Amino acid sequence: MSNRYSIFSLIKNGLSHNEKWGQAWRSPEPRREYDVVIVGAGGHGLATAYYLAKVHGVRNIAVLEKGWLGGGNVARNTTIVRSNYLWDESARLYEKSMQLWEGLSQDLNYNVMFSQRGVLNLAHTLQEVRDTQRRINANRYNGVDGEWVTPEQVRDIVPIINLNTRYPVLGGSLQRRGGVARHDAVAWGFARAADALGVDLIQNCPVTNIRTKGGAVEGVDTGKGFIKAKKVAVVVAGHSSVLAEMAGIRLPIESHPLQALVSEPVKPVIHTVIMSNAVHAYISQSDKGDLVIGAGVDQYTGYGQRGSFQSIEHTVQAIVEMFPTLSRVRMNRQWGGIVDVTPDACPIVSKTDIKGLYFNCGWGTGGFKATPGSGWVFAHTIAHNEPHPLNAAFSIDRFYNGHLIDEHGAAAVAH
Amino acid sequence: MWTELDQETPLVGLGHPPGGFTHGQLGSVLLAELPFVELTNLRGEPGSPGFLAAVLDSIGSELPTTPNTVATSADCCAMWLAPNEWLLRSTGAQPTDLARRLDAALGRQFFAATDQSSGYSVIRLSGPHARAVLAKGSPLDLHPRAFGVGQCAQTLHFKTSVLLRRLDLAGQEAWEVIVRRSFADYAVRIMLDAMEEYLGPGVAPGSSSH
Amino acid sequence: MLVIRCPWCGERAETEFNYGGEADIVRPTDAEHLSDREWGDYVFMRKNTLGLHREQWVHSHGCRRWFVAERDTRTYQFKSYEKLGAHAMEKS
Ligand SMILES: Cc1cc2nc3c(=O)[nH]c(=O)nc-3n(C[C@H](O)[C@H](O)[C@H](O)COP(=O)(O)OP(=O)(O)OC[C@H]3O[C@@H](n4cnc5c(N)ncnc54)[C@H](O)[C@@H]3O)c2cc1C
Ligand SMILES: [Zn+2]
Repeated sequence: MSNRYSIFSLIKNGLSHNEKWGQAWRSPEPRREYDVVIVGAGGHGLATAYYLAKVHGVRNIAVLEKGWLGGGNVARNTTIVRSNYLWDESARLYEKSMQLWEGLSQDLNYNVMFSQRGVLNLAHTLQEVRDTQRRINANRYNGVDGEWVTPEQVRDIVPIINLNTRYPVLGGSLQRRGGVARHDAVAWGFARAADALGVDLIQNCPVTNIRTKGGAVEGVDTGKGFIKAKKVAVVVAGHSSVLAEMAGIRLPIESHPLQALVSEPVKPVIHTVIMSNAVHAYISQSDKGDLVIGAGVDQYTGYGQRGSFQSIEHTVQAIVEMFPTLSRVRMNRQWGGIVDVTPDACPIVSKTDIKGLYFNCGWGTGGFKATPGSGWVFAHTIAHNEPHPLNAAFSIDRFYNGHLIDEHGAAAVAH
Repeated sequence: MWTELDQETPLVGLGHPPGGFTHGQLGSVLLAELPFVELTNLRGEPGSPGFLAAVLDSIGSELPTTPNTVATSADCCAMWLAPNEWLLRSTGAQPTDLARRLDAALGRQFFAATDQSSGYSVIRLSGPHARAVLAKGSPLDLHPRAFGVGQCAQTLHFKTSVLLRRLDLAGQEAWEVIVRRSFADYAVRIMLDAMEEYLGPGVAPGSSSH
Repeated sequence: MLVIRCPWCGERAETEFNYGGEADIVRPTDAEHLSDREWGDYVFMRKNTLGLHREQWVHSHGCRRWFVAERDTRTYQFKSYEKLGAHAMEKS
């Protein structure tokens, strides 16, 4: 990397008044042809490009993005990272991702501010207590850390919590290795590292059609003309069905608005991530001091990157009930993203019936945590034209052969 | 042994006198529970020959076929719930046994008349601030221009389903709220909360001055 | 919050309604002859249209009737409403 960040580059650039930092990545014009064209420069698309170049030695790669790099869900999420999913297939996939997170800043030479401050999933009913304990046991069996915490321990971790709400807190699971990362930095870090390996990142370049011939992919029509490609890998989150339709493929996906909001910055009061399925709310505090709060999906499908007010209201009611002391904190900003929801709350990372066409989608409300892992297995799938063992179970075929992986329990509040 | 006299309304937990729960002042806003109102759910096809006529015959009231409207007779008020569904609310002092009367009158029709008296609670809000109190939990426009006497609506009150009916009590605006029995406590408590600002200090729950 | 026009009750707040997904999905009648592919298609695959979408809604807290609406999934604007079965009844 010509532009490597280090203590020496900090000093050197400091001495020149920080006016000589190089560009983090190029903005090239697209070539006429690539070995692999990746559609969508979100976290997953950029991670895919990076691992394709780095691990599989593919050099001739373009990432095409209709808007700006990192303008989609990758920079709209609430940045929760955890791997405590119930089923073996998902636990292994998310755990792979967790392990990549643990070395990511070093690997990318970019500080993604991954902070393992712990993720607390609260249980408010006896059934939730049983389900949570079952999940902790399943997690440990899969080598994923997790522990049961009593209401008193919950209070020690989060002193401002009100345990005796309408649905009293009966305990919870704690994954200490879980936490948060800075989402923009994840997009930028992967972009910069992929660019350094020769990947062309092309922004303002919407894909408008996927050309196929004789059951094989030929390339894509874009806002910048036709681009030929041996392989096309689609990673467009909320727009997956739109791209699938271009190739004549059907997906079991519905796109829903999902909203989040942040407060004005306040002194540190929440030192971990707290999630509650029962009252449907989750909250963490950013390093700046903003309280980061996530709502649920809107019931209707939509592509508008905004949702309805009552979804926000519902979440804020739950937050205020759990943390009465926050009732007068002002909210600064609120926004929405479009998430791609599957019937079993699990992703699709898969080959398709069209040769050379791959889809990675369906991460729904919880794919940020999977960013490095998703890129890792998708790159393998594209390079070898065969799934990696970790994503073999996540093919489109499962909706035809019935091998669904129902993660609604672990993914319900979903982030 | 269970007798009629032992019957309790779901608001018993709010510590009311036997005649139903009341709170507030008529001069501002008064909430009153009307205990044990007789309610009958009627389903049938208005287009089916003879159906409307037979109902009129047996209960003395037309069935409203315009959505969200009400028709009344001497001892009954029929509220539109859906194109083939009505709630018949007895208004007289005596039990009218509507379900049995309808069964007898509609014997050969395709219909269902079900006594649901014990499934619901009936609340009345009256006084100059009644509408303002109700509006706090309602997504509807309750202004007389949009919601007048003779209209009813199934809707939400905060998070529970309710059936609203606009009343006229001697020229005064008032509202009837019919809510599922198991949500009555919730609905009333949240209304009491909404009433607070209009009652001022010194009005303890349960006090009334009408 | 969306304002939705129930074909019976008129304009009401979105909170009174529940969404019922894509409209016009017909349950296959010859179930025993269906391939896995066809079942998967019927049960799981969805158009998820970007643009004008025909979809089902139910007025849950109102008259509890289902109806079909056309809504633009980009702007969320409703373009038309029809009573469920209105189509079928016209045809028969
Ligand atoms: C409010 C909110 C909160 C969330 N919270 C969490 C959380 O706490 N933890 C968690 O794990 N996950 C969370 N998620 C989910 C997570 O953000 C997504 O699952 C994940 O970011 C999706 O992958 P991506 O980053 O590649 O998507 P995106 O960033 O959306 O990337 C897709 C890209 O494809 C581009 N594209 C679309 N169509 C085309 C086209 N035709 N041509 C070219 N490019 C195109 C888009 O412009 C976009 O940049 C949340 C999501 C939202 C909206
Ligand atoms: Zn209606």
